[in-house]
Amino acid sequence: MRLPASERTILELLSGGEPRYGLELVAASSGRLTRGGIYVTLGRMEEKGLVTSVAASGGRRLYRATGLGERALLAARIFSGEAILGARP
Amino acid sequence: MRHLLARLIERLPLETRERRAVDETLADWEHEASIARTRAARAAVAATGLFAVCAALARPTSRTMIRWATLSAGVLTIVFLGIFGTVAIRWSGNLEAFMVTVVLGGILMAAMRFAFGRDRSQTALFDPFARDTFATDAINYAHVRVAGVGGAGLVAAAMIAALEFQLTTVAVALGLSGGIIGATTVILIRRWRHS
Repeated sequence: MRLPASERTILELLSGGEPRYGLELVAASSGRLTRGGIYVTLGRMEEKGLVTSVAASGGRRLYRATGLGERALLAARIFSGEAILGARP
Repeated sequence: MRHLLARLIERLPLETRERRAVDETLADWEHEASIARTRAARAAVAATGLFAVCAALARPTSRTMIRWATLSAGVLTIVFLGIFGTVAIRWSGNLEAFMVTVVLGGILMAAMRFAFGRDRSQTALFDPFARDTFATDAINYAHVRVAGVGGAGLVAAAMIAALEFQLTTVAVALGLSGGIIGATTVILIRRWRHS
């Protein structure tokens, strides 16, 4: 499964396990995510099963990475060589 | 401004995913506006919120416009082909031109069906014909749903062809008679069984 850059960024930001709002993800992404496109991406990722969300107050939603999302991120890291290079003794 | 924009957006024909994205962007704007204390901060929130909503709307709007333009062009071409085919067969008696028109129209219809049916949600509509016992593939090879506008067009095309060609007129008359007799028989049998 190909993981686009925006989806990978979102999964990296959610990989800690802490649920976050879309706006928080934009703020933490250092310009890699935009406010105009974040929710379309999150909606697509939710359909793929990479993230899950729960309704919060004021019509906002809290997003969290699923197990599949975590595995997809790990696979993307291995594919790009990051996980192997990062696993030093 | 935010409320006015939200009301305008409510009227737009957005898909579920797009509407949710825009709604969440509006909710973010509302959240930021609620925590902004100074006038400058509120102005900045309004500017960034407006920009974010416009950006969220840009993609579905552009796609809708492209779809609308493609659909309009396709419908106009089909109408033109219909008129051309009718003229070809009615006034000039040119069967070859009629057949070419039919083939071109069929290819165009197939292309439009492919283009507009590609991103259809699997759970969008319940298929009322899914439980049909008898498959009609042999006589309706193109899988044209004999219902609504498509079905009416199919019947109209069959009627035109039947009136123009005597051999087909006989076949259609036989089919029509057989259909009426068959349908009446089925209705009577079902009524008799349920009574």
